[in-house]
Amino acid sequence: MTLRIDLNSPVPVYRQIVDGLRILLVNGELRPGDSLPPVRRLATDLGVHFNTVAEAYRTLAEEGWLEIARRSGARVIARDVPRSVDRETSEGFQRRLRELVAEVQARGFPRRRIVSELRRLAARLEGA
Amino acid sequence: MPITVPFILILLLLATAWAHLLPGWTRPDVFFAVTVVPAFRESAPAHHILRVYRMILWSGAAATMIVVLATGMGALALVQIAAFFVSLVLAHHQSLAYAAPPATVVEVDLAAPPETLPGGPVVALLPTISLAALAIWASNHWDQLPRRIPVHIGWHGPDRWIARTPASVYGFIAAQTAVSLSMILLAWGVLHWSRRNSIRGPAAARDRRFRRLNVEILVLVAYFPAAGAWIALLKPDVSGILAGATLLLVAIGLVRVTRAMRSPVTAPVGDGTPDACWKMGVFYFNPSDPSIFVAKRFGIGYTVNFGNRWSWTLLGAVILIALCAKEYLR
Repeated sequence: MTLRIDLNSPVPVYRQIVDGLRILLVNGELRPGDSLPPVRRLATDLGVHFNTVAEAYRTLAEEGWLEIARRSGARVIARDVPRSVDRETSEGFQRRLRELVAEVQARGFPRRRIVSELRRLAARLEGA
Repeated sequence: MPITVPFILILLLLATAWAHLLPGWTRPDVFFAVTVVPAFRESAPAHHILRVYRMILWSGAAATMIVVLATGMGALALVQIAAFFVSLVLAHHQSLAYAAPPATVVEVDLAAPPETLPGGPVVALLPTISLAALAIWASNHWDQLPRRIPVHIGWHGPDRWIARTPASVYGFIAAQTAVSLSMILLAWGVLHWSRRNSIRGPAAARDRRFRRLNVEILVLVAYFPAAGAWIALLKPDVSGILAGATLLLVAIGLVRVTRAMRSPVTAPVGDGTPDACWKMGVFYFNPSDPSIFVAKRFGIGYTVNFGNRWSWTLLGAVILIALCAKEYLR
């Protein structure tokens, strides 16, 4: 179970940690009851400031994924998935997806490859 | 000619030989504290840099020996330290031109089991517990303690003693306890305040083995102040054997650590620390890195991150303990 960040990415490290952990949580690789490394341990291994990791944990806690205890670190908790999606979330998803596709296209990613990646992702979602 | 000069010259030669070999005792993807591709070591520029480093080193040693022999002043041997730094800084600077692009992607295994002190807290605290037992034993068998207790071993055996007074004896035991606990603190710090670079494959195994060996040596060293106190109070005539055993075991430990460092490495290239943060190739200064301990890029073992204020606090505490112990046992 790997968390991967790119120190050269324009995406802030804090955001990369949140996104990386959220993928593991959504995919079920991190399950309720699992413990995450203490803030200091993860920050040391990533080579980033403690506050960066603490902020990422706090964001995930606000989203309902984690429970943060002062002594035992962060623990994954069961989270209720909202039954209906609001319009803002739906539009935001479409916008971010379009932005991402445009960004990778601008970087020279072939259109055929983008389509195949999206299909693979869709197939994985349908199979889940 | 003072009798110490030949001895100092032998030490100078040994230290220079050590510095001569040191570039070969680092991980293969680090050359004079610069991240390089492992194949660079066999290239012509690398051989040239190494040759110049060794030439300056031995030239400095020869000049220092001549000065020491001419003046008879053994303290002038310290000039060789300057020669060592000049050769190192030059080699480090030349190697920077061949630096490999550092890996910018960092991976962390979230399921990695926590690393613990070898044998757990019991083994780590056994020296302290035994010293507490020694203090109790001493208070109950005061008359059996020697009148003069050796507290320092020189090349010719014990050369410093304390008298059998409560302040001296209990102060001695307290000093040994503080030194022992400092070693355990350093071992614990290496486990918890240093970065785990690789998460899979042989590189991860190499990192773990290297860290483990360093921690084992520190825990082992923590036993020597305790053993030293027991021997000094119970069998002062065999103190020299303990000093010899200490040197032997530390030498064995260093050889094992060196071998662990040299084992082949795959990815990622480098140790995850930026080249620019290694000042003169030996001092790591990176305020952005929360690590307190980092594996040395030139030398054996770990060094501290001088850019972290907690490193200074820790270093200050350990030095203060050592100075207090030394001053008290003067």
